[in-house]
Amino acid sequence: MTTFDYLMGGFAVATRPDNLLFCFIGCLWGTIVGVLPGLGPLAGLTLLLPLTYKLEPASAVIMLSGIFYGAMYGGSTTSILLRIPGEAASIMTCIDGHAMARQGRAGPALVVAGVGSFIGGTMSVVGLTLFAPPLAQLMLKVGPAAEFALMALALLVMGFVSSGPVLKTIAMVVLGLLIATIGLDPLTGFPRFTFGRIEISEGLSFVAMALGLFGVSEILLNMEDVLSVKPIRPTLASLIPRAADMRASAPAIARGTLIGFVFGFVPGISHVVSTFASYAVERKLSRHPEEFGHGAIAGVAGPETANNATTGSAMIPLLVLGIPAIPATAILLSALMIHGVNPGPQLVSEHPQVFWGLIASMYIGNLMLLALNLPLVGLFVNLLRIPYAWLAPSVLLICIVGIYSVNANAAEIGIMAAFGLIGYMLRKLQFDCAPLLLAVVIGDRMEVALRRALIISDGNWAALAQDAFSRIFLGAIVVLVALQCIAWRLGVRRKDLVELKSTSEENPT
Amino acid sequence: MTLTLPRGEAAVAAVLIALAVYVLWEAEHMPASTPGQPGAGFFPAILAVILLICAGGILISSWSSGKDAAAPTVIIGHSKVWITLASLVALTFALEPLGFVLAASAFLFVLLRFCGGVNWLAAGIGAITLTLAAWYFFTAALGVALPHGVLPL
Repeated sequence: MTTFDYLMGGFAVATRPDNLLFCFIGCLWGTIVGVLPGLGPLAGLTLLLPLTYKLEPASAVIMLSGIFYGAMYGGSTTSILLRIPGEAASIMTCIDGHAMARQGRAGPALVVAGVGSFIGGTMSVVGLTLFAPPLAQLMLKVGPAAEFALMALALLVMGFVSSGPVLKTIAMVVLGLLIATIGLDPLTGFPRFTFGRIEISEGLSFVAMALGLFGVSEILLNMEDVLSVKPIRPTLASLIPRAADMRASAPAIARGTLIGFVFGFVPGISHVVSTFASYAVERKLSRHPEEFGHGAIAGVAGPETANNATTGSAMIPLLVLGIPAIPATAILLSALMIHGVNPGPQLVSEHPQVFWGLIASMYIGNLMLLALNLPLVGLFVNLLRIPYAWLAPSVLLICIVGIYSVNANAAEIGIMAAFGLIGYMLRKLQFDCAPLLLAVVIGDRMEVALRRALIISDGNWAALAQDAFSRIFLGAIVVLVALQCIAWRLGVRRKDLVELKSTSEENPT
Repeated sequence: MTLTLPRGEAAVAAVLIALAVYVLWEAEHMPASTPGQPGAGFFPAILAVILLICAGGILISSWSSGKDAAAPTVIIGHSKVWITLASLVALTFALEPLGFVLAASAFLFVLLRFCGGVNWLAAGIGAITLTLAAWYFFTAALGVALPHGVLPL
């Protein structure tokens, strides 16, 4: 069978009426959480994760991935109309998108963002379709030593590209790995850090942790600083862009697609970084760089395309290696594992209906989102009228029902609250919680891979670098650490990204 | 509570150091490892050592930046934050004995009235309406089992 035949099989799964409905619900919910400031894709995914437990694996992952890429579309609406990034990947869109809106050109900005998102998202899925299966074949040859080295590399890269200082991020990664060791030892069954409580012998509830760290803490942070907003309202007629706008956007969309797709592989905050990179490239290549910051349409088209183009490539490490590149895909990973589907090289052969059904649904979902986001932009803007006094308790209520529905155990609400407080404190003190969550998800596998490699080699640590894959991954780790040491030595600071981000958040005009 | 960012970072680093020491102590009491047979405490012990190094680094860095008079400050714990967290803890204990409708209504009422500043009547009506809507949506439409408690629903 060819890739095309498999893809057609995937369309047969994705076009089933129930899966079309779940895809639509995911895209709609994703757009809503993307539009609402303070609720990003991560919170959106964690809120609905418990409700997918009763679905079959393909349906669950189709709905959840719809939320993931749907949020990327929705985020542009608030960025353009309010200069408030609906989610982190829309920060760059605020600059020129809102400037265009203030010039009465909100319509073209929204259309270009929507079309760019569609093209970036769809081309990224094409890349996923083409690259994932052969990469999965290759990864079948990877042994436990290389698997450990690959996961260590992923976590290290995340430490270096995360928005916080490297030491803080690595501390969060290690904390996440330690949390993952709570419960029965996966190889010997010995209980670790359970305090004799049988309830936590299987570890702490991932859903409670995720909801606490990202859902509850987000609400706590927003409660302190409630925004009062007056959106600009575009009419349907104003949505038609000029030919000059399309000409100016086309190259930016093409470059944004490429940049986003490449950045999607990088663990950490690739979808956010890709928008910064795309914006910088567009400004550099523009004949009128002085227009950037004052309503340059390429400054909207490039970043919006790039953040959607990461969605397909971010799925490749998840589906092929079982390693989530970003926190949102960590939630997808946990959803798959809860349904007994282990992502990794075997996924393509063992669960083709899940793998190809998901890919096919992403083509359909991107089309749904284009149809949803442009004509209904006025409806989504109205969501911003819901006062936060009502929104926050409603979201918390969904969190409570969600977490209780998993195991019918009220104690997990307490665990969620505890992680909400931890997440709130850590984020206040500028510790990034995303690496912690990613480490929790892959911690178990990382430990098993390391210990198996040592058992096979009878405790010989040098065996960790004996095969070609291990050497490549360990070599990359050495290069990264060396580069970081040189950067420290030279006093190079990685604060540009953080400063740019905070500038755009703090100066709304 | 207002504190400088370096002081806050130092507090987190101190907690992480304490955690790492505890993990090392626990790992010491787990079944022994041999070179060819790493035991249950092997991986946590390695992690604890790395955590000690990172937390030590954070502590030293916060110590040096703490001397800067212009160090940024953070405000932790707006009253709304504590009310929300206390309500969540209270709900944890009240959910099963009282049932979803009573416990969640009270939870929402507290949040609407004391965090959202909604007036008493609107908060009461809103809390009950939202709870009942959630109850029927999640139990009837999605089949989620929520505790009935004392109400014969």
